[in-house]
Amino acid sequence: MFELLPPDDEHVLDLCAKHLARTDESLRHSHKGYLGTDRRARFSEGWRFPLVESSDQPGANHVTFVWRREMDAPSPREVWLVGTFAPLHERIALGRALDSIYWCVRVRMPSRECHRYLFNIDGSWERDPVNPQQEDDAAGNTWSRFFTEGATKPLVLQEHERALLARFVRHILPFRTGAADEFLRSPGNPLPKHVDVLDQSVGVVNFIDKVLAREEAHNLVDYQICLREIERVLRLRDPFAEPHLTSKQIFAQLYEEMKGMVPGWNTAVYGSPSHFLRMVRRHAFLGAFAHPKYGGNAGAIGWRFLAERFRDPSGASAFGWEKAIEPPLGASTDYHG
Amino acid sequence: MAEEFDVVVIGSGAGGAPIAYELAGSNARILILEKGPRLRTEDDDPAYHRSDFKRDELFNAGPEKRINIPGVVNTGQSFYSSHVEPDLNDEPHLWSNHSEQDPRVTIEGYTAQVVGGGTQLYGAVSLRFAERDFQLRAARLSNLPSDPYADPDVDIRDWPYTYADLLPYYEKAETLVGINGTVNDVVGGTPAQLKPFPRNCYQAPLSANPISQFALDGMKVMGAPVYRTPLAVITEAHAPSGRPAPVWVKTGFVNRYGDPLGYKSNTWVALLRPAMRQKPGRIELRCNCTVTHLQSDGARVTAVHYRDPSGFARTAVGRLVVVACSAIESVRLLMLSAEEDPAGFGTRVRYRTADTSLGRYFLTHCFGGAEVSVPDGRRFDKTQSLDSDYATDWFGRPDFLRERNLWAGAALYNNTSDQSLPVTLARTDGSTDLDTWWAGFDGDLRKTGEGILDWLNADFGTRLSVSFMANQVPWKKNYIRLSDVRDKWNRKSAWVVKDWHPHDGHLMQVLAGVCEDILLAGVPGSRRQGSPENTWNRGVIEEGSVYAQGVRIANHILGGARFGTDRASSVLDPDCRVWDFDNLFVTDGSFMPTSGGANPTLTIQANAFRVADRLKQLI
Repeated sequence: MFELLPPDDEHVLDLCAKHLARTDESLRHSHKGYLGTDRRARFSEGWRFPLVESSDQPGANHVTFVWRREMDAPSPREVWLVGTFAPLHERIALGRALDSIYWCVRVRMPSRECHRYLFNIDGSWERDPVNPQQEDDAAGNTWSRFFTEGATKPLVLQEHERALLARFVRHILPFRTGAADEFLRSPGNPLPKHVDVLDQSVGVVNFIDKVLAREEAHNLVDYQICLREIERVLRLRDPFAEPHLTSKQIFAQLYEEMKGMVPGWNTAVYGSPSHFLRMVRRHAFLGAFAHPKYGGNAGAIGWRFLAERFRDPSGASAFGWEKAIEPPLGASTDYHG
Repeated sequence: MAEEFDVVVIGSGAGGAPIAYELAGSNARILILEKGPRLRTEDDDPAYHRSDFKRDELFNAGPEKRINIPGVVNTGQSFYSSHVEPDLNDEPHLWSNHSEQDPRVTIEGYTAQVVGGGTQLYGAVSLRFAERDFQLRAARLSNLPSDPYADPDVDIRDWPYTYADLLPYYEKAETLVGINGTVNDVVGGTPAQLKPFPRNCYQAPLSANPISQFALDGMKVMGAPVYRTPLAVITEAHAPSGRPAPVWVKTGFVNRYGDPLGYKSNTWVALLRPAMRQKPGRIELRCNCTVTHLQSDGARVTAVHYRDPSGFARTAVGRLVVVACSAIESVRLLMLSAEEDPAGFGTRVRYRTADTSLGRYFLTHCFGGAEVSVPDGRRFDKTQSLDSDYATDWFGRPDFLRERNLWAGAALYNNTSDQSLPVTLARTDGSTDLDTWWAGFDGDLRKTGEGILDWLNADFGTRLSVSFMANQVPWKKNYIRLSDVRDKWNRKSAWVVKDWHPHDGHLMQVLAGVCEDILLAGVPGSRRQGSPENTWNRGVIEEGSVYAQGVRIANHILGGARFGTDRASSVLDPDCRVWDFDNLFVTDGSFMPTSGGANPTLTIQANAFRVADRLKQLI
C-alpha cells in the first residue's frame, strides 16, 4: 500500500543539490571504478536516491523519487513513474520542484520492502539517471531498485555466501561468548525464547547485504571474490563439510591466517586477505551496533546486550540508550526518529 | 537585472548569522547565500515532526567512500564523512607540508555545509578567549625555546582591540545564542574564569556526569579554579530565540551531530530562525547556492556570482558584501575572484604580491591532551552527558607561562560524551583525526570474539580525557593557496600548506604533560605512559597532541585573512573590511591574527556582532 503525500519542493532541493548540482561532468564517484563509464558516476552518493526518510506513521517511510533533467536539455512535458509498490498500470506523476531541474513525487509506503521502478519521460522509459541500484526482472528487463528501512529480502549476496558470512560474523562478534549466553538467558533479552544467538549474526549479514547493495556497492566485488576463495580453501581443508559448517578449529585457523597470508589463497584474484578481513570486521561491528533501521541489530539486541552487561557503580546500566532513541524502539519522549 | 539587497551575506554559520540577525533589526534587506541545505529540526516540519538530523551514529560518519582524485598521493584511500560535510571528491581540500610536494586530500579543515555551518556539528564548547590572547605581541616573553618572537618568518600581531572592547559582544553572543555554564568555581564559588566577567550570561548547567569527577579532582590537586564548561546547549527556556525548555538533552549525540530538537544552539535555531520570525521579510535565505566569485568595480564589490540549486549561474548585488564561509573557503573565494579579474579585484586583495598577507598566517589550534580508562572497575553511562563538564583557565596564567617557557596559554577541559556510543568507540579507537577513522579498529585484529568483549570491558563507559586548546604560532610559511585540482564547479580547490612551528611542539608537549598530570592525580590507580602495559592498557594514561600524531590541520580553521591596524601586514582593517574595498567584509575565523587559547566559535560570533554594529552605520 502506498499513499501520495503533498510535495515539499524546498525540502527536495535541500536533499538534492549537494549530490546532484554540478557543472563538471567527470565521473568522480565511481569508487574503485564500480560504475565504469556510466554517467551516474558523476553524482555524489547517488545511492541516496530515491530518498528514504522516516515517517510520522509507525512501520512506514516517506520515499521521494527525484528525476534530474540535464542542465542543457529542454524541460519535459510530463514525467511519471511506475513501481512495484503500486499497481503497475498506475502512473504516478512527478512535479517540477520550483523552477529547478528536479522533478519529484513523495509517497508514504511500508518499511521493510524492496521495489523496482521506472521513469517515463514524455513517453520514453528511463531508469533512474542517478540511483546506482538496478535489478533485472524475470523477463530480463532492467529496472531501478530501492528498499525502505529494515528491509530483509536478500539483494546481492547468494544463499551460500550469506551462510558463510554468518559463520564469519559469529566468529568476529562477541555474541558466542559465555557473557552473551548469560545475556540471552537474562530478563534483558527481548527476543522470544525460540530465537537464539544466531539471529544476531543473521541480522548482521542482512546489514552487510544491504550496505553492499546500496551505500558501499563498490565493495560487493570484494565479498564475492573473497567468500569464493574462503569457500575454496575450506573445501580443500575439509572436503566432507559444507564450508559454513566446517569445524571451529579449521575456521579459527583460517581466520588467524587471514591476518597475513592464507596457504592456498589465490592472490592473483585477491591480493590481501587481511584487507577483506578488516572490511568484514568493520561491517560486522556496524551491523551489530548501528541503528536497527539499517537491517542489523535486530530489536536493538546489540544495544541491549551492552546495556545489560555494563553497569555503573549504583548497578544501573552504563548504556541508557533508550532515553535518546525514538519509540517504539527507545523511550524518548521528545525525539521522533 | 541582478537583484539588489542592502547586504549579501555568504555563509550562515558563526561569522555570518550574527550579522544577518543584527541588521534584520535595522530595516536592512538581507540576502544570505548558503552553500548547504536547510536541514530541519522537528519543529521546522509541522506536518510530520521529523528532523533531517538523527540520533544515528551513521550520520556522524557514514559509509566508506574512496578518495578518487588523480594525482594526489592518497587517492584510493577510504574516508568517512558526516551527512553535512562536503564530498571530498566534489570539493577537496588538499594539504601538504612546506615542501609543497605530494599533496593529500583531507577531510580535516572542513566544518559543515548546512544552514548553521559548523555550529550544527560542533561540540558547542563556547569559551571566551583570555585577555592575554588578544595581545600576544605586547605580552612577549623572552628566552623561549625555539623562540617564535625571534623567528623572522613568524609575525605575531596583537588584535586591534582588547578583551575589554569585545566584552559587551561576548555578553551579547552568550545571551542570544543560549549557553550554559558557570563563571565561578564549582567547589569554592569564587570567580574561576580568569578574565573579567562582570555579568553572568549563562543558563544553569545540568548535573555533571559522574566520570568527570576524576577530572575535577585532578584539576583541584593541581590547584586550579574550575568552572563548568560553557556549552551552547540550552538547559532552560531561551526567550531570545523562542525555544522552550528542553525535555532531555543528555544523549551523547552532541559532537558531530546536528540536533533534531534544536537544543544545541546552532546559528539557525538561535539567531536566523528567530530573526526571520520576528522581522519577517528582512532576511531572504537562499540555500544550496554556491558562490563562485565576486566581481568588483574600483573599490566596490558590484556583484556576487553564484550557482543556484540546479547549478545555473545567478547574480546578486549587495551594497555591502560579507564573506563568512569558513576560513579556507573564504580565502579561496577571494583568490578565485582575484583570478577572474587579476588587475581589478586581484590588485585590491593583493593576490600573489610578494608581501601579501592573503592566505598567509593560516592557523588552527595546538590541540591535544591525555586520556585513560578508569582502571578500578567503575564505569559510567557517558551517554548521559553533553560534550564537556569541567574547564579551567589555570594553565594560561602568566606565572605558568613564564615557569614553563610558553608564548601563550590554553584552556583545558574534560571531554565527557566522546566515545560514549559503541560505533564511535570503535571507529575512533586509535585514530588520530577524521582522516584516520576506523584505521585503529581495522588494524587491531585482537578485537575479535572474546577479544571484543575484553576490549569493551576495558573501554566502554570508562574512558576519560582532558584536552587543551592553545594558540598556534602565526607562521608565514603556513598558508592557503589554490591548487589545480578542480571541484565539481570546475573551480580550483584550496590547498593548505601547513606544519607546526618548533615552539608549537614544545607547547603541546608541556600541555599534554599537564593533562597527564591531571589524570594521574585524579584517577585512582592510573599510571604514566611507559609503565608496564597490560592487554588493553587499562589505567595507563596516553598523552599526545596533534603535533606528536602528525596531524597538521585539525578542525578549527582560522587566519588567512587577518585583521589589523597596519594595512601592510593584514588583509582586513579593524572592522574586518578588506583594506582596499569600501564594501567587502570577512567575518569568519579567517580574521584572527592569533588563534586564541580556547575554542573559537564564541569569539567569531562576538566579533561578528561587533562588525554588525559598524555595518549598521553604513546602511
